[in-house]
Amino acid sequence: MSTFNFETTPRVICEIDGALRLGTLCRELKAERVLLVSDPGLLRAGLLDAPLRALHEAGVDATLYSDVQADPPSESVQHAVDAARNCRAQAVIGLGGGSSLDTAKLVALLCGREQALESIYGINLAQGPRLPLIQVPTTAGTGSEVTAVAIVTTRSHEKKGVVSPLLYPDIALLDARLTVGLPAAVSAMTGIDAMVHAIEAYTSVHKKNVLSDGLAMQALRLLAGNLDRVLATPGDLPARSDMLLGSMLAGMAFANSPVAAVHALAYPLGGHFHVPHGLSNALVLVPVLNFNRPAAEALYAQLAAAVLPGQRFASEALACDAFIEFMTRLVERMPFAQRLRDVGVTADDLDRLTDDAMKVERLLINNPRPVTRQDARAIYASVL
Amino acid sequence: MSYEFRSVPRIVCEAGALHSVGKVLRDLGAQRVMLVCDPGIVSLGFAVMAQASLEVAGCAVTVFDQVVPDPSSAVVKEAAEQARQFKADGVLGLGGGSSLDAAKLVALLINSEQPLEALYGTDNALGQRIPLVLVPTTAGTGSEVTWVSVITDEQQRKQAVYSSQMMPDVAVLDPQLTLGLPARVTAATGLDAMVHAIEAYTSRTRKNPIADGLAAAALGLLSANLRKVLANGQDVAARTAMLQGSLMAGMAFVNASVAAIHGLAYPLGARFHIPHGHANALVMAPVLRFNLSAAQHQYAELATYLLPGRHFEHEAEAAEAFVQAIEALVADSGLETRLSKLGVDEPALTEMANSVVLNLRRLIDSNPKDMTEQDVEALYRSIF
Repeated sequence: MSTFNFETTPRVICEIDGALRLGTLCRELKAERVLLVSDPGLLRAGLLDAPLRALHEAGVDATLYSDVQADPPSESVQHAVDAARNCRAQAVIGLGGGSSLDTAKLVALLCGREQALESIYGINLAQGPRLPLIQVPTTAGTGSEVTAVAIVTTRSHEKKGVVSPLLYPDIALLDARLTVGLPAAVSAMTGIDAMVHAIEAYTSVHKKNVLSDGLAMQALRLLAGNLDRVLATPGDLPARSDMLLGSMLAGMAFANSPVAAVHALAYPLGGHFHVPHGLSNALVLVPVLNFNRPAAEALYAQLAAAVLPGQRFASEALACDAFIEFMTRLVERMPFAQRLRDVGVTADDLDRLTDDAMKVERLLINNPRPVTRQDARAIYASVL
Repeated sequence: MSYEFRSVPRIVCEAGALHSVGKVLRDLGAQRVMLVCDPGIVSLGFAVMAQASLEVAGCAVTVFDQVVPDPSSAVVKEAAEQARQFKADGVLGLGGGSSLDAAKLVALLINSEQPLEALYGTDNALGQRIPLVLVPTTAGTGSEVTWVSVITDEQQRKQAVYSSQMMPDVAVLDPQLTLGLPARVTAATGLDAMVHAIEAYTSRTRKNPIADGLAAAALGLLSANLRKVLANGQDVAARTAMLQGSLMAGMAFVNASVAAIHGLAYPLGARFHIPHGHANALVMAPVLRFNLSAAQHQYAELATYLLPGRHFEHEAEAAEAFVQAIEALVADSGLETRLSKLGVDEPALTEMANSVVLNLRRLIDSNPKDMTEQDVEALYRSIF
């Protein structure tokens, strides 16, 4: 499509042990007091020690908030905001998975300008300025370091999103050292999640554009080429680095060309069965690809060049086949559940899942092939 | 493995986007805007369009329309002084690379106590700039997404300012502004953009996977559309693709560096006032052929974007096809290809070769194959 608006994070640093530069970077952003937002798991794993030391050595007064919870509740965001106010933070660093980065975004926003969290749910309701913000992802991943969205869980257990270009950080810092300890299942789920971001951005009906296309292609090349490697050799730093980069590029792509049916069908699995987001996506990915085939053959054929570089195909149909086959085999060999029944779903749940998936209309409308209720139910049933 | 990637945070691409440029600046908080352009932009009526859009959005406007190709330091200082007098709080650059480069410096100088000369080189600027929006009217320099300005000093030398603060807030692409470009300008600027993509992809110093993805996508767009816009300048879709390709090539090269083609082109511009794009086009094919032995692998990779659908038996064949395709494109561009026909005298060849290795070492360092002074002179002679 020739008309588009593209927004992204203005500065990316990709460097093994780059987290040791956080102090210098805070100084560059003119911050002497910062809040580091992270989660208890990373604290226990000792991953915060070196970055905190680096901050102190640079003379930056860093306060740690390490109580981020998964699917962050609004109260927890408020606690983090209080922590930032108490230490008079001049900048915020998010270090962790998607939940920590989302929390950090909101802290920077709410401390930069007095406004109630409840008043900014929705699109472009937030007001700036925000505090300077550095995002350091530890999974590859959500791509949250380059998206303009933060999701919180309200007191009534609803998921609410804040969408604003103010949420793009000043700097996304990719340090592969922080990801070498990820368990294989987490590497696998988050890696597939990132691939889904790239695939759905590339086939999105509404805002697909040349920039998101170029980024999605390169993301898929890196992710497809390195996911097996990080599972085989968790300490393979170049492969870990390429996964982080692929995840970020996929994030840049889908931030501007939104995801579609895979995500729409995945959300209810998270909501009702607490299936991790990446796994939910992985469970429904292959049936959705097969479902989309009649409408997306040409685009999937183009993606074949990214996942199977150097390979030639006699026709578009064969290239499309090869792409779907590649993704099918890749998901199959991942060390996680393959069927909905493995995560507790029974045949009785399918109607409820279908109802909820159909409610995610904002994403379904981006799908290359329209999804009816029957279609959605059939997709779930096929992987029960 | 360590690199940084900087990007303009927002890109707007839409036919007719110049009409909404006022709102874009207003959204950045600007109320008193200086429009920086050249007399050609005024006579085309684009300056009036931009001014009207700014005034409708409630901005006061002053126009500096005296930018010249390879702008002199005196012109930049004059523009900055006018901006100061006007108390501008925003700058809109509209035009080719020269106007955009001048606009960046004005936005930086207006609040700075540093003289322009103190900024020459890398990261010497101390202050922050005022809001800056850039609208290219050629496809192009990619200047709308770089933090580089090239100007001509009082001794007629090219001086480059690299300063990350000069990255604009928004790049606006409006293909309508390029429909009337003369074929000669279309060809020169289009080839310039292709050089950006190629040199970024083969950079020996700062090549990185993000720039690679953008360069590859850019080259695909540019090569598929350059002949189309030369055949029919009114082809809006092809003009749009050229602007997009130029922008992506700009994002790539500013993060990866350009190399010897630019090195050999600069003296042709500085001494003989050959337009920058044309100067690149002159030396492009010979340098690629010179590099072939060292860059065979990368040129073979680029062949898949330049010549999609073509099959090659081996890497050497693909790389040769790549260089031949560029040679054919330059030959078909309608641009003069001999230096002697462009006012260059023979004794100058030796002096220019000396000046390249002496003053532009950083560009030779990024070239895939090293170049001696003799190599440079031989290359100049081959196109004399």
